[in-house]
Formats: sequence, C-alpha cells, structure tokens
Amino acid sequence: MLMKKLYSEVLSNVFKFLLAILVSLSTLNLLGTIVYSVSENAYIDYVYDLNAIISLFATILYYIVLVVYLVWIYRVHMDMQSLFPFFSRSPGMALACNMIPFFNIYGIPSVFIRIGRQFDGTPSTSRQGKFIIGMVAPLILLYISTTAVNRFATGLDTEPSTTLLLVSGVLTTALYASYLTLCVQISKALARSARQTASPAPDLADTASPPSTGSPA
Amino acid sequence: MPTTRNRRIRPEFVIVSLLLLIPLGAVIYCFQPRYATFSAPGEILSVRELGVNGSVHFCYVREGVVRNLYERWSVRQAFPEAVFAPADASAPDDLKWMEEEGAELRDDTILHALSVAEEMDEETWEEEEKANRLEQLIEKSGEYYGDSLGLMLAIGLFEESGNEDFSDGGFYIISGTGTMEADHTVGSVGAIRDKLLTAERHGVDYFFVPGDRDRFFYEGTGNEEEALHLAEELGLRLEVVPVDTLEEAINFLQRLNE
Repeated sequence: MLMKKLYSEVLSNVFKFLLAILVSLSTLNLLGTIVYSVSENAYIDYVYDLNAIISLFATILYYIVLVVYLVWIYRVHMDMQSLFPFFSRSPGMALACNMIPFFNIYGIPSVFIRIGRQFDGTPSTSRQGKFIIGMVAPLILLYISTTAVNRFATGLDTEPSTTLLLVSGVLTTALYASYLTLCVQISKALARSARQTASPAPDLADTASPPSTGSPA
Repeated sequence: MPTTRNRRIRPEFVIVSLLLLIPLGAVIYCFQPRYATFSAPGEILSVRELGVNGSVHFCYVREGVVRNLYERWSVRQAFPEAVFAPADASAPDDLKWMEEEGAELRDDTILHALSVAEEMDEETWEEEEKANRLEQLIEKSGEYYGDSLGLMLAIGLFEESGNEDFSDGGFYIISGTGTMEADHTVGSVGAIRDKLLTAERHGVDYFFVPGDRDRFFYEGTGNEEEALHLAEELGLRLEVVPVDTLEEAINFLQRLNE
C-alpha cells in the first residue's frame, strides 16, 4: 500500500516514546507519594532516594517533551494542510494557540477541536476524530487544574499536605496520559488519511514510503 | 543466493536515545556524592510548648547534612538562607552522633534548669514532683537536640514558680540561647548567626546570649563577641543582652518591668 510521507511521522513516534516514559515516571512518583501518605518512615527508608532520582529525571524530561510537543504540533499542522487543502489553521497559529499564556486556555482546545472535526468529517478517520473531540474537555480541565494545584503547592510557605501531593500526582499523570492518547489518535488518523490521499500513480510512487516504514498504526 | 537485509536504525530511536541522555546526564551529575553540612534560621518557640507557664521563648535553628547537589537544591528551596559548608562522607554519621550527644546534653541542661529554678524559689520542691517534671520536660523537648534551651527554660521555670510575666502581658518578645549549668552560669553554644536571624525575623525585642567574653576558651570568637558584632553588622533591630548567670538575666528582666 502506498502512503504519502508525513512531516510529523518521526516526531509523532518520538513524542509517543517520550510521553510514555513521562507517564511511567509520573506513575512511579505517584506510587512514591502513596507510600509517603501511608508511612513517612517507610518512604524515607526505602523510597526517598529512588523518588528523588525519578523526580529530577521527570522534571528535565518534561521540558524536553514540551519542546518536542511544540515541534510536533507544528508538523502535525503542516501535515493537515498538506492532506486537507481547506484546513484553515496554519502551523504558526497552532503554535501561538499553545504558547500564548491565558490565550492558550482557548487555544489548546481550539487546536484539537479543529483537528478532531477535520478527521470526523472523513469516514476512514471518523472514529479518531470523535475521540479527539471527546478528549478536548477533559484535557483542558486537567491542564487548568494541574497548573492551579501545582502553583498552589509550590507557593505554600509550609510543606504541602499529603492530600495535595496525591491530588497533584493524580492530575499530572492523567494530563500526561491524555496528551499521549491524543498523540496516538492523531498520528493514527494522519496515517490513515495519508494512505487514502496517496495515489498509486507511478510518478508519485517515488516519493512514497514502503509499508514497513509507514505509520505505526 | 546472497540476500540483502535492511538493518536501518529507525531515526526515532536515535532521537529518543539522544534526548534521554540529557536528563540521564543531569541525574548522574546531581546525584554524585558531594557532602555538605548546612545550617539555616529556624523558629522561636514559647516555653509553654514544653509545658512551662512562662512568657519567654527559646530559639532553635535547622541543621543537617546534604549528600548531593539535588539535596542541596531541595534544602535551598525550603530554606533560602541556608549556609552550606563542605563535608566528607562521614558527615551523616557525625550528625547522627551529634544528635545523640545533643540529646544527652539537652537532658543535662533541663536537669540543671530545674535545679537552678528550685534553688531560686523560696519553697522547696518535692522530689517526686521534680522527677515527674523532669520526665515531662524531656519528653516534650524530644524533637530538639542540644543544650541551648537551658537558659530560657530556667527563666520560664522561674516565672512559673514566682508567678511572674516578664513579657509584660506579651508587650515584649523575649528570647535567647545558652546552656544552664549547675553553678547558675550560662554556657556557650553554636549557630549564633542563625539564632539571631531567627529571633530578628520573629520580632524578638531582647535576645539573651552567653556573656562568655572572659571564659570562652575555644577556637574563634565567643558568643557574646560574635552576637554583638553580628547585630551591628546586620543592623538588627533586637537588643542583644549578654548574661553570665541566670541571676543576671532575671535582674535584667525585672528592671525591664519596673
């Protein structure tokens, strides 16, 4: 089967790998917090050192993922414009929607809703489209609540309570997992759309990739 | 028949591996053993926290050991004024030993404070009552180590037995540091800088320090000299009051309330 080469293909896989690692680390951190909430002594004796390493690793990885995400969303929009000529959002505007503070509360859902609607309108990617649109509300709620809880926790003069740490851990893990799910669905839908748009004509076949290097879907 | 096998490494694996080297490198760098001791301003606590019906406060500072750059960063986040000094791998054991030693010294100073307060009281205390009080004070001060609370505890016990209130109904905030010796003298202590900063931050008006100018036989400057020098250097609002004995401290407080 022939497939149009996607700008975001490699980066989608990179983003998925990194996000999967981040979700795993965040889950481990959450487990550490649960141990802390049950027994502070057990946490200090058995978990503290490992949790500190995981925390530092995850914090740095988070910033790397943030940069990869911005490049990925840019490339996804390049693909969207290339696959759907009437797709109106430019890659630059998509970046602005994600990066401008406060505006991104509208911008992030708007980016994913447009992508979702575009896929929803195509029969082969309708399932992914509906899923992406359905994920938008939980994503933005998680984004706002995670930011609020984490800012509140770091702004405290005293040590944050165990409940606050647990809530923060659950929200953070859920937010990363939501982004991972969205990335998987978007890259799947893009790959399907690319397969559909690809022409079997010999002159285009030279620019197409063989199935072995195609979509991970 | 020769076969050609495509063993191309997927670029995403290369990119992910390279990107993961960044946090991995940072973790290795930050968790390499680099021991340091630290001390930071702490809190002032009323002697009432120890079950003594007095108005004065004792002062404690935060001390500890960090094993690597990550712990150092965490401590700095929690206590921005922490001062670090390089140490070797024996620092955690040294701290543990210091805590154990400090607990014994604390118990000694509590015993001296009780005895001295009893000697200054007109009434004689029952042995059993005194033993119970000692046990109660040791139990309530369990989370602190070191003997620097002795002087303030003795002042608090003196207030309690004489039904006095040196703070004039909370008008003055009185704190201090120094051990209480059996002969009523106030012994030298450590971490004067952090204690003064703690007291200043908590709005203390009068801060007692051991008047050890003539009897500090160790290396460096004595508590009295150091405290007076720091108060001037840091432009502290509080008044440093060097006292040689408990009686000197009581006399100062009684004059204050006249």
